[in-house]
Amino acid sequence: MHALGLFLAAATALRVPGPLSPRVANYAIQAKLTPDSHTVEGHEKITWRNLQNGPAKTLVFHLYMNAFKNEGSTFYKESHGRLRSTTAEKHGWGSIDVSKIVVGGEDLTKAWKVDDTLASVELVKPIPPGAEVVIEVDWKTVLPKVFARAGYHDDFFAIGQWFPKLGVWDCSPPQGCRWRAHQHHANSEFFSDYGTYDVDFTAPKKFWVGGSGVVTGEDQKGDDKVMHFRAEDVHDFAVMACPKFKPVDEPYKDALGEVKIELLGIPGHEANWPRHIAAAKAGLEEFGRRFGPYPYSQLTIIDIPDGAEGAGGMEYPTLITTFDAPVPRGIHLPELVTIHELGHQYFYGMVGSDEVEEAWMDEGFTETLTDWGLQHQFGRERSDWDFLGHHMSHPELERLSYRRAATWDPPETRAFDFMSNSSYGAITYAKTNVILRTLEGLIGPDAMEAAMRAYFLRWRFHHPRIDDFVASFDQAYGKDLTWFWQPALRSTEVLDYEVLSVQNREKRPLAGLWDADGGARKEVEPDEKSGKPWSSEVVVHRRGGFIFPVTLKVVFDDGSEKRETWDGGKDGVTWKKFTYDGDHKVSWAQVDPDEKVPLDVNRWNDGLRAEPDDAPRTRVTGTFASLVSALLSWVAF
Amino acid sequence: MGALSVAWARVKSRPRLIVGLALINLLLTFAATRPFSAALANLIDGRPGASAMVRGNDGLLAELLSDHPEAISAAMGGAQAVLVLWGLLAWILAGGILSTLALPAVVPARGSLRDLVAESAQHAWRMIKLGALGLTARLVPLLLGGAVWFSLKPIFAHRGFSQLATWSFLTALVFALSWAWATVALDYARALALTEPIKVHRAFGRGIKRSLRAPTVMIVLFSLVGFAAITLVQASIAHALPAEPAWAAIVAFLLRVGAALGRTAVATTTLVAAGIATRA
Repeated sequence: MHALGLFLAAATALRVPGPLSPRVANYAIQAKLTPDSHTVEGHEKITWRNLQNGPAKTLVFHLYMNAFKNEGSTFYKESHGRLRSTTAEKHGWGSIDVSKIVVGGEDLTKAWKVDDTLASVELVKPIPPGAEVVIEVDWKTVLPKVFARAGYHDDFFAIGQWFPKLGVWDCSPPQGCRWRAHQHHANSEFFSDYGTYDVDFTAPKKFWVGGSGVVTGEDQKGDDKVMHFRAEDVHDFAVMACPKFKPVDEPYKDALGEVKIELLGIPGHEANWPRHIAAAKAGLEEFGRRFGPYPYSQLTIIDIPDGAEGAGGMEYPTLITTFDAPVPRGIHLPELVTIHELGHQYFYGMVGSDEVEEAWMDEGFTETLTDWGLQHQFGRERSDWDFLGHHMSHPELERLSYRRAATWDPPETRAFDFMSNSSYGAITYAKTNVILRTLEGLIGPDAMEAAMRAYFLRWRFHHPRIDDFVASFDQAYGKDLTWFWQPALRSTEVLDYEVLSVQNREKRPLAGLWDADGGARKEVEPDEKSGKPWSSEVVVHRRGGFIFPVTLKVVFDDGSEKRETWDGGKDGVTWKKFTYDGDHKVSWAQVDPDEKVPLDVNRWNDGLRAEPDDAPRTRVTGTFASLVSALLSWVAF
Repeated sequence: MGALSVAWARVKSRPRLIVGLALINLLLTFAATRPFSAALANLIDGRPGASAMVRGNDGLLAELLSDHPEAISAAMGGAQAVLVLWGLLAWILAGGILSTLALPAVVPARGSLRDLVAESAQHAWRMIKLGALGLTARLVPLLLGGAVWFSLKPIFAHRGFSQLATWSFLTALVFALSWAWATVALDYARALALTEPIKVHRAFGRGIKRSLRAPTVMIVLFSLVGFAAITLVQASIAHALPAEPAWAAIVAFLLRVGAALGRTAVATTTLVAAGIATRA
């Protein structure tokens, strides 16, 4: 069956003419999986190009799998053996060891220095700018019991971050030439350079093997098979293998032709397969419209088996792993995960920002794409769930996550410098999404789309930094948004506006003795009425330090409305008073009535009534009363 | 069906008893909601966001509960207090109801509240002891429910949502049936404790034994189906009501009253039927 699929497989990794990237690091890997010992042994030949303006005197590699070697690793010390909701198992250690490294024909094995998840080798001759070098490495990886993205569980193998991978050589200012490669921290992910991958992966015949890119061939070798993969203009390569996989192939068609969507499903999870595929198509459609068509020929979706949830919800170039969750159709969790990981193909995959030093630029942007993708599939108000009369939008869910961490860390914080894993998650994912949605609410969806597209097109297949994004966005939008970016990205200033008071007074003439024309004096009684009965006042107050323009909706007791705007207090005054004289008094007032400012940390203080209304409370306590009455009947009468 | 139909006829002949018990249920419910309502009044009465929340905006609900967990504490505290109080009171009243409605071969056309209260008071201590002992029987539904959950796990776990729903439903069904069975067994025990000069723990044992014979199944099913049907109808109609108009609040209240009356009638009939069955 695999041979048949192979026959029909896409012949090329790209749907568009390449190369799309500078192709700095190009890998040819031969590797073999031994399931019984859960090891992968391999040989790689890397053709590396120095495209920077400084000579490279060393080479630095990532050995990510050493994160699982023992409790002394940086990853273990910070994570305490736990990632998200999965925990490391005893005796489930992993490691990666290089037995030989040859650089430009020189055997430099003796110069190989390993420090936790990084290794370096001092070169005999520096590699000058513009030069190319061939590096050959032999290694052996022991896969850990999966709990943090990669590893094995029974006969399922999530083979990610499994080969010695070069870091990114970067000579850009202000830091000058350095290898951008950090230890693997609990909160950080991965960063490497673009290139091509030709991978010959050997596994026992009974295994179905999926990988990044496309399958270009398959050979039989005794009891094993050798799968040939090719991926172009990517910066990583992953393999997933399991005898239980059941392939479900679905084409997605767009203006460029066809993307082969291959879902490798686990029997028992059939109910959610159509949901994953539908979500992938919705994502491809929406992201294609916003940023341009997905340029690769194939998207592989891996359905994770039960017990291997640690490998779920992960992105690799052209290959994503998703979650199986037994939830009803109205709860969009399977779609959320699939669309999120697909979104990473654009931000992380094509725009290769540094997941370690600027995680917000990949996770946060991808969360925003998730938001847009879910909105495209389900509508904004019900994008996360729509179930039994209850609903939640994705920006709202993100806001709830962000608001508890609002004052902890700014988004530009390096992944491993966050106060905690909670802060990392809430700020890089949720706050970034909320920031971008707030900006979208301010400048309009069309301008947002155009500016984001301009940034994507300018920086795809490169490694942009925060200043690159800000400069690109502002240039595309045509205005300096430093007043927004500074508090949003570089500070922990909180955005919180409230309606502080709503007051109505019956308008009447001022009482007392008044001099009239001709020297007469008239006394005005306190209870005399004038023609216009009401003088109303609404005070809007800025509680947080983040200054942002606000819209105020004022509703009068005859149902009429007025909309006001305020610059948010740029002059340093933290409040603004709006007054009205008329026949009708103000019934209630609300800032951000259209919910375009999800960055506001407190939604409840956004509005205030002149007079309390207990109808909603009656509904809530009524529901509670029904529950209590039923419980009382259940235990007694 | 004999015991059930006789019990139903006797309960129907005592509408004021049913109304009285339902009224206590509603009054206690009202008392339980006061702390929660007071906590919410400060938080949401002045806020337009409350309207969006009751129309299904879960973001506002989550924010409210996250910022004000004391509101949930107030709700839980109120509910727990009345559950304990009503549970205890029901133990005592059960003695009076059985003595006046179930155990006499013939009941008068009109019973008096004074007789009911007197009988309840006379047998209160025995009923309280039996009720306390009967709490051990409540472990059975928990154990059975847990056993069903784990035994079905190999079949239903890690499948789709419908499998999870089926698994949960079957577990809940076993739990509910065994809870209803424990209730009927205790009702038997109460009747035996009132009619036979035996210690409470012997009455308890005999009640359990008695529950293994007819017409226990019919009484259990009547109790469970009656409760479930009334509650589901009430919940379905209430869910369909709009969030805020005053008339909707009135309808919801009337539904609550109707459901309390219905459930009280079912629970009382169950008790009386069990009492009648011990005399057969």
